[in-house]
Amino acid sequence: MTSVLAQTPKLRDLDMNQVFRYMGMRPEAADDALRALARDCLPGFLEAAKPRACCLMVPVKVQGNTVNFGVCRVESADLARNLTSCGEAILFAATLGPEVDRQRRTAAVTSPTKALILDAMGTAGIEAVCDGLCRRFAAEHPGRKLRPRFSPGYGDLPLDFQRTLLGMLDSQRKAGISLSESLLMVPQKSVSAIVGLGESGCTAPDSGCDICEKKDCEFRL
Amino acid sequence: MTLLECINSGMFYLDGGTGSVLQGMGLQPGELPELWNLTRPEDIITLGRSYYEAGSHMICSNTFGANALKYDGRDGRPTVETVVTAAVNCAQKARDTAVGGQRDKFVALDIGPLGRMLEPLGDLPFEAAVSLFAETVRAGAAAGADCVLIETMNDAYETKAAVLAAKENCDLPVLVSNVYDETGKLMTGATPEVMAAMLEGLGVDVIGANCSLGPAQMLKVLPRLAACTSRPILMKPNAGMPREVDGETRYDVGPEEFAALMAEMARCGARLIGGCCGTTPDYIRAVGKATAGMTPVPLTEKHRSVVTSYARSVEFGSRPVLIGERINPTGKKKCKEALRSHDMGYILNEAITQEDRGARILDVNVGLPEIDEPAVLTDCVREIQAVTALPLQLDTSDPVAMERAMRVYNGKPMINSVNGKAESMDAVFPLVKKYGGLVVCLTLDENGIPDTAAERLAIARRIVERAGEYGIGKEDLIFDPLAMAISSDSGAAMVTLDTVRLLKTELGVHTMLGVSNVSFGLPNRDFITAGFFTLAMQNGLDAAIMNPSSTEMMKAYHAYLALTGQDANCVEYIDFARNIVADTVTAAPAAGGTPGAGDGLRGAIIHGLREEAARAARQSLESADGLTVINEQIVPALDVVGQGFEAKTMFLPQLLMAAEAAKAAFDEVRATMPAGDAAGPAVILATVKGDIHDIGKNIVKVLLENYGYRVIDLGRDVPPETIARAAVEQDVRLVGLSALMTTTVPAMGETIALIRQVKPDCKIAVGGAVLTQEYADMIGADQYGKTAMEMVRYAEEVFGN
Repeated sequence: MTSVLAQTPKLRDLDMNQVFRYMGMRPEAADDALRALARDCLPGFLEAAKPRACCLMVPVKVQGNTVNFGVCRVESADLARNLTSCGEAILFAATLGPEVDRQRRTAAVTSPTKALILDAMGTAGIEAVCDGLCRRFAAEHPGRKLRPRFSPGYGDLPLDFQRTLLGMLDSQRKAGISLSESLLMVPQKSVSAIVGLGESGCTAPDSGCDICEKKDCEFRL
Repeated sequence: MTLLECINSGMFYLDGGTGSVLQGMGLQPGELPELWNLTRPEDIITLGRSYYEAGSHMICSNTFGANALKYDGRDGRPTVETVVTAAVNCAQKARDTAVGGQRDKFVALDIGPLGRMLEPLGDLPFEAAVSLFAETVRAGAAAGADCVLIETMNDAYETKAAVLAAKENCDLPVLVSNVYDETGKLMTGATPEVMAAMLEGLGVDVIGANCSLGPAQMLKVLPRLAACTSRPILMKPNAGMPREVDGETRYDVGPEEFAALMAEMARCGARLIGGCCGTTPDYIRAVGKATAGMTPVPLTEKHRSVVTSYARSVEFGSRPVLIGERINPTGKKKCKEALRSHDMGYILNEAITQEDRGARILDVNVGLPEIDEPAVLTDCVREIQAVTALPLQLDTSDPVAMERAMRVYNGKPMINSVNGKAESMDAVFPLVKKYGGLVVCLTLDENGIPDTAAERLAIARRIVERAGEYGIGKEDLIFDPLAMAISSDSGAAMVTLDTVRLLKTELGVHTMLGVSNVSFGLPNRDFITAGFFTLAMQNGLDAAIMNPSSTEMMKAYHAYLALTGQDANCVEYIDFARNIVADTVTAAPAAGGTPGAGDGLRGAIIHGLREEAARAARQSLESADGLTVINEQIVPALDVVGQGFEAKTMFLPQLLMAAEAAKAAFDEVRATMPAGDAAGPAVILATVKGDIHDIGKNIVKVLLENYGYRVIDLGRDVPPETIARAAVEQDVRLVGLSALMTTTVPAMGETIALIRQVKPDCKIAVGGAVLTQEYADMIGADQYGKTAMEMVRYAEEVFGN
């Protein structure tokens, strides 16, 4: 990829165990009433979710804590470690689109529980979309080892690298993702990340918890 | 020839891609293409010239992202004015040095999206967007552009901001092009029907589509646009889909195939044609060849009577349209209270309930003598549009409130109302001309409401004429011949019904009634109102302002549709009638639940069964007073759930479900108690400035309300000053602040510092995903609430419960 490619990944179903997990509970603790409510929410959620993504392949050079992507560079020891021995990386941004945000806001008026369920579905949904994209990147680059996806705000990668990253991805135009003044992604259920393509070493697990500083996170795996 | 004359005289050719061509010339990802106007002007001129020489009548200036968010004149960056002037000059030089091509050549000031999402989805205020676009427009107009081309817009609201900026800052023609996806919608939901209605209302000269789709897919959007717009249509598709071939980006539709499809577009009604990403001068040359000698499809007036939201359109003229009347304080005590105390929850609930009951448009009237109507009406419009896609009817007699509401409204609104008085028409019609809208016209004038149908018709005639003088067609008028009480004049209903019929047959206009007035002063008013409604529909009524929660009214509506053949196989009637049966027969109580939880109200709350809890509360109230039900059943149930949550045997969703069930029970209890009772201590909640994630704050709110606190919810992205002011004005002793991200924690710190200054006796608790005890200490909060229950416990501590 020498220029940004737009993509429309699919989201056909959700892993309900993940949804319960994002609601802060073990799946087995979900009783019938909650499960029924979640079942009611699912079709509308899947209809509202319109995943879009954009990606760009860039060269990678790591020198000390500096990661150089050719068109830009960033200081981060954790990202440098993540990208060790990667000659290239794929930058991507993905979103479920604005309708899931609206839906959640509407639900909040009449039922906060539904809003909570839809919020958890949004998180599970965008994570699933990103995992799907990474599996696809892996399939498109046989023989390469994909590193765990790494986002601005992970470890010591500064959050304001978000501006550079989304700028390079032309994400507003290619996937409808923009940044608020305080660096929040809009729509809310969006993810941007860097995926290193290595010649050797680990292949990506789906989570970046190992390198995260927030040791007391409830969702830590 | 002027630009518009040229467009009206035949096929009009636009340019192809700019960004994708510049990438081919070495533009790097993330590099700002507009800088090339200053650093590589020769390349920009050469590109423009090659489009003119390939046959383009008009090219776009290289100003797609030229706004003050990117070009602020700081740190060595040029200003908007510098970039735009250079870009327009480059385009003009290209035009002046081009050899051959069209006889008439034009330069468009190109305007793309700002790159920031507008409120309520994002954080950019509507007026800030208008100001940003205005800067670009002024610079482009001053540099001599021939028109403003607003393109690649994927959001209706941002499109409106750009159009207003163009209209208010120059006299140039305005062309608008949106991005549709494969399903024929903008990213934020608008259809071609919505965009056509909204843009025509705003007085745009050309309407179209560009980017995202290849010509074959865009060809599917075109007929929908052609069916509903009376304006010339612009089409600029991509050269198909980009693919990676040997490390190069290639588009999968070549010039010849592209040109053949563009010729088909011309046959389907496109008049201004060109290309977007991946297209080059070769594509434009091929398009010219493929359409040589073609005469564009003639423009026809469509005369559609349409209102829209940001996503949905409602057309008048086929089946009667139900307009929900509930958001109106007249005669509604609760609504009055909600408006006075700025309780948006009540208003939004009314909006959603009416939508669920079948309303297709919502009337919004906030007219109370003691409130700031312009401010409250615009707030309500914004908030209601954030939770429903139904179009709104802006109902006010205050012209200032009307204008401000029309301005912030996302879509083409319905306006209530104008009448035959000169003063009224002179106030309302200029607003309709500027912002677009479909206006309710009351058949009354300086002499009041005439007694006869003929006289009411005469007023209507005068209104139609006067609107015409303002350039407003009768498709944008809907007439309300005024239903009067039959209890005081037994002939009143017949006069109104006659007028409805005459307006239709004599004047050919649409009609609407606020039907309920007819039954004023009579018992069981709905019986009369519903009967009148049926008669009015039979006389041709196109819309009614009514209460969609009234079973009698909905019976009349569904029966009428079924009887007049407007409900195929009576599907809708059957669906409606079935639900009525289910509502009136008492359902068996839901089965058991977890052992030990107890039955009745207590069990229903613990299990989070909302309807069951309401039913059980009603039952309990038959044998006990309200306070007893609260103290002996509701509160103990909440305690069980709260303790279960703290012991991690119950979890957040269950806590919330129980809270909702308890709320339903409280509502039943409150209905039996005198109003104004039982308002507990006030707590302010807000998500801090810069943060738009509010789910955590909403959860805390529900729980605090459950425990009897009066929550003043200031919403999200709230500036420190607003929170501090509210704390002082309402003498609040506890403020809860929420933030999701590290980037918004400083705003939380500022808020705390400000509250400390102005209200030192106020306690401040903080919470949110990113917060920890350390953070809370660092910014000087009194309490860190890790969970919603911890916030409740802290409130109990503060208020000594």
